[in-house]
Amino acid sequence: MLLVSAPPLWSALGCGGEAPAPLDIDGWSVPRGTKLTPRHYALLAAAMDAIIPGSPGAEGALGAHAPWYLDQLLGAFDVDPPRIFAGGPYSGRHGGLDGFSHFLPLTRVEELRWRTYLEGSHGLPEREWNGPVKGLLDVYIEGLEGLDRAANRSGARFTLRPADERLTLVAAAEPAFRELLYAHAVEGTYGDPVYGGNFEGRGWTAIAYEGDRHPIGYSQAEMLFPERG
Amino acid sequence: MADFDVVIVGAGAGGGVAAHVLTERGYQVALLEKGRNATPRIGRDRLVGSLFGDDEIKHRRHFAWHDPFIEPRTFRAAADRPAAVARVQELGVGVGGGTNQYDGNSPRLQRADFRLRSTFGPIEGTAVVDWPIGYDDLAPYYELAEQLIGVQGQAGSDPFAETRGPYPMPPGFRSKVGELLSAGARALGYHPHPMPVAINSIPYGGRPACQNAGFCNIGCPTNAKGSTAVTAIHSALRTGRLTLLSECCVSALRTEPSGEQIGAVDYLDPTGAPATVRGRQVILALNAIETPRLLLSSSNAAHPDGIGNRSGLLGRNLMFHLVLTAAGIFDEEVRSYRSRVSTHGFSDFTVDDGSPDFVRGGYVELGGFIHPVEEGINYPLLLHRDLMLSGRYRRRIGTVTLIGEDVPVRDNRVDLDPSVRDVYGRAVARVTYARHAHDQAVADRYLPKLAEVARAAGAVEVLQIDEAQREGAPNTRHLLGTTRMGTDPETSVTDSFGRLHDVDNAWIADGGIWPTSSAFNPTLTQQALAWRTADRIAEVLG
Repeated sequence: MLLVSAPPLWSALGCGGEAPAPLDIDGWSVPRGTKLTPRHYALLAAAMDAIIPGSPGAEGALGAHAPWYLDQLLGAFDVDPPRIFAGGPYSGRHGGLDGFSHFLPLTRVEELRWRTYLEGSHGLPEREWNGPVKGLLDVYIEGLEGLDRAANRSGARFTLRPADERLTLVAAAEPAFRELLYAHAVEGTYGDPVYGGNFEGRGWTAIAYEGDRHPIGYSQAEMLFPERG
Repeated sequence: MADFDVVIVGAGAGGGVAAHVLTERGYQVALLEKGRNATPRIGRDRLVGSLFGDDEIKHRRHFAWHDPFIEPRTFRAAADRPAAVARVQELGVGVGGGTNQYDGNSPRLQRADFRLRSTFGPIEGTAVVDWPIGYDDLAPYYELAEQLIGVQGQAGSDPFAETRGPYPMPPGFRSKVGELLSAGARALGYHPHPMPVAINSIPYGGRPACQNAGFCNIGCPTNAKGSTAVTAIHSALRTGRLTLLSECCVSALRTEPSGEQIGAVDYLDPTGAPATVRGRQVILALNAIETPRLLLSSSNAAHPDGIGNRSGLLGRNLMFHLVLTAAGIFDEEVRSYRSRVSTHGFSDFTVDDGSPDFVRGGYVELGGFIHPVEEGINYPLLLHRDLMLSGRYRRRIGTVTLIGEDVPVRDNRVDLDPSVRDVYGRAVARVTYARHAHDQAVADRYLPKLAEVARAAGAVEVLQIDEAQREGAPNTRHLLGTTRMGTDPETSVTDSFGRLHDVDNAWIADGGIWPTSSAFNPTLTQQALAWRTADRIAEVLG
């Protein structure tokens, strides 16, 4: 089983010194200081690992740090500007301005939107234009608990189940949560690394994808003969 | 006392072009846009930089893109059914509007598109009419818009198109999938040609040539694509006569007591504080859903059913285009993401093929691409890993997409939802839409023909995709109708220049004024129409 490493941005977050050792929850490695509880993080890791498993030479969701991607989203407002929109125009991986490394300040409406979505409305009138909103952390806790309950009903905790059984349980989860979890697993594995997932581009390497290519782009030969690499 | 000669609401395709034309003529213009400015250096001496990037996460988080979380819409397939919140027609929001993320495909309409009723006859259950203007009225504005936005193409390569002069730029690099699909189309007797597209093939307008790195549909980081932000609005700012008010959401229009003039435009400024701006003339260029929504929600004593709604047609005859796709899966690697979205197109399905059961199809785009996050989410959960590793879509897909006529139907409409609100506390748009039998007949006839092209190109498997299912909420991103133009105030909302019949100083410069939808991508035509409208406004201002 592949284990999640320590948070890749530990030092970047200004938390100098050695990263503290991760916790071990049923064999799942859980970084310290996550927005999710260690148990919920382990459930998340077990679920994402089932959706996008790794294989020799092709890292999956865990190798790409997809659970950490979600945790970074849950804690987006821990930093300023919040980790919502990376800047532009280029990542710097192929030259040009490294705009991705700076997150963009949000507009007033964007901040209201993302705080409402992530934190919930908590009875605040300005966040309840169509009624109360449950925050993403609570949505995940409820959904992950649902996975564990379903697993326990058939004999063992979700985190202790083999991958094929976990995938079956995920597939049978409540549809809205299943779609959300699936989307975040995919985003965290194949999205840009600046958001905390796709660690070191491992998700792209696994599927032989070049990633972003601006500002060098592709030549006429690379367009007409992609089979050459 | 007016603050500006002209106030424009909406900084997209039409609003941007109108701002360019009117500031060039010397008028003081305010351009209000509810979204952010993702190209904040526009208007400076050197146009560099963009906040867009090859970043799927940012796009999925609705950066400069319609966000249904804060601005939901509701949908129903018929007026006697309950409406539910749904994802209906999501487009770019911000300076440049949908032109930031569109594919850039910029074909002109054909003469028949302006004469649908005369050419093809009435269709039962529809409001099919001729336009009050024809191709010749628009031809000079097409040329101006193509020069401003920067369109690449090859004159004379489409045998069904009107005779025209050279494009501002030659066709750009070719893609493998474009070559394969074009060969397939030619083998079936069709006439593929380089797609006219608003993306630089060479440096043009102070912007660089395209680097063919894909991601066009989430915003161009190099500004090689001619969004109105980096072309029309950039040039308007450089005149010194444009006041660009981004992050300013218009909340209401107020008419003078007589109802014959819009006296004030109320909006919320970036801090959320109420503000007002006044213009001698007012242009509404939000889009064919949001413009009628604003006019309906601004009803008053002089206009009890919404501003400009004497005909009762405000919001009606909503059209989306029929978008049909045959997605071919090739055995060989094509990596279609190494390209702009469409490199070629053909017009053969827009004209009568002599068959007794002829129904008009539409313009066909060849190309298509997908990037891994969108790809992954599109795969079934249980098959995800195997499909991602093989790159079934990402590495092997090529698409044949038809933009088909969506006939106007009176009951297809936008009105105000009675209960759902947006983040600003305003009633959201309720969309009622069902496909007419004509359009279903087009889908039934042409989807298999599109699949034939993909197979002739060598695809080993073909998925047939109908973007707007009969009962579903469409997401074709082409918004038309709802404020149709015409000569009779009883059967149309605006005159042939987009001026509201009932309000002397109010004009519409978005796809709402289209009486019929045509069989082509609409943006270039809307830019030409907006130019014509702005010309007329300049005459009125004197």
